[in-house]
Amino acid sequence: MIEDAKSSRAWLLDFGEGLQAAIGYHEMLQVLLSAKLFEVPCTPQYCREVFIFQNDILPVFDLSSLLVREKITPLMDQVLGIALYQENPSHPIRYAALRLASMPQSIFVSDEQACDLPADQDYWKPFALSSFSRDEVVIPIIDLGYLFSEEFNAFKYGESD
Amino acid sequence: MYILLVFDGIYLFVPQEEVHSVEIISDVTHSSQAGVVWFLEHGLESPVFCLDSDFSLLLEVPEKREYFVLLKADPQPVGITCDEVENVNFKQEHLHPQDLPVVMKTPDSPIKQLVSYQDKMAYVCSGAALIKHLSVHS
Repeated sequence: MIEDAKSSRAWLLDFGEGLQAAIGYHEMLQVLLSAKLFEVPCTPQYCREVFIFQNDILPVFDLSSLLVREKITPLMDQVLGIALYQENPSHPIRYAALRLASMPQSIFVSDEQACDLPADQDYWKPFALSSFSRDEVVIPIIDLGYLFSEEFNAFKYGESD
Repeated sequence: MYILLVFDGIYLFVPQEEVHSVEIISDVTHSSQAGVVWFLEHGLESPVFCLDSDFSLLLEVPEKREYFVLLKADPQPVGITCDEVENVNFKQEHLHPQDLPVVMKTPDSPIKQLVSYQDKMAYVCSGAALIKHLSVHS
């Protein structure tokens, strides 16, 4: 698609298992291909690992593990997208990693592509800000702030620490 | 100051002020139930537990466990076995623990912070959180 005044840049992310979603272009800082990961016990199945990035310890979120709800065979190619998020505008910007099945793809999205999530993709609703159609596939735009928030953790576990 | 417990390949830090004492495993008196051995001191028996790398309770004491750390608790201390134990001064070692990311928290996790130590990811737990974890899982 050719960039025009009504389109915005975004990253199209492939989480494997046929799961695709997008985030804003400014929400992806870097892509790492061979980070050293550390598993942390007593953590959710979808976020069991951390790694060190610029002296910070960042969580690695595995959306396919969350949505498919079972342990997935580790991907052969380890791609980590370093994402930026803010829980809300008064909170500081934080970093976290998304485990991806392949390199993110830079795309342009226009207002005309906006559409609703179909019923068979309802599982995206808790984290989707909106969605758009691309090549006849509906792509949700992920709310990273919510994904890494106290609110989401409380939703998953019924209490916030 | 922190006490470092090494067991099953993991590094676990507990604040030194929350530790009653460090003992050697040969001092345990007897085992009465699966996974728990007992240590007798001043007429009080303290249960001593073994954890694995998932923080699950082990039913038997692995051969490599040479020590146990007694955590302060009322009415008696509670022990955790380990392969190695040492004092670590975070300031001197330039260690800067970071809070466990919110997204990684679970209600029964005793892990409060993470810290990179000797090319490993070490966990920082309070004595109280560890004792709660042990009591829930024993």
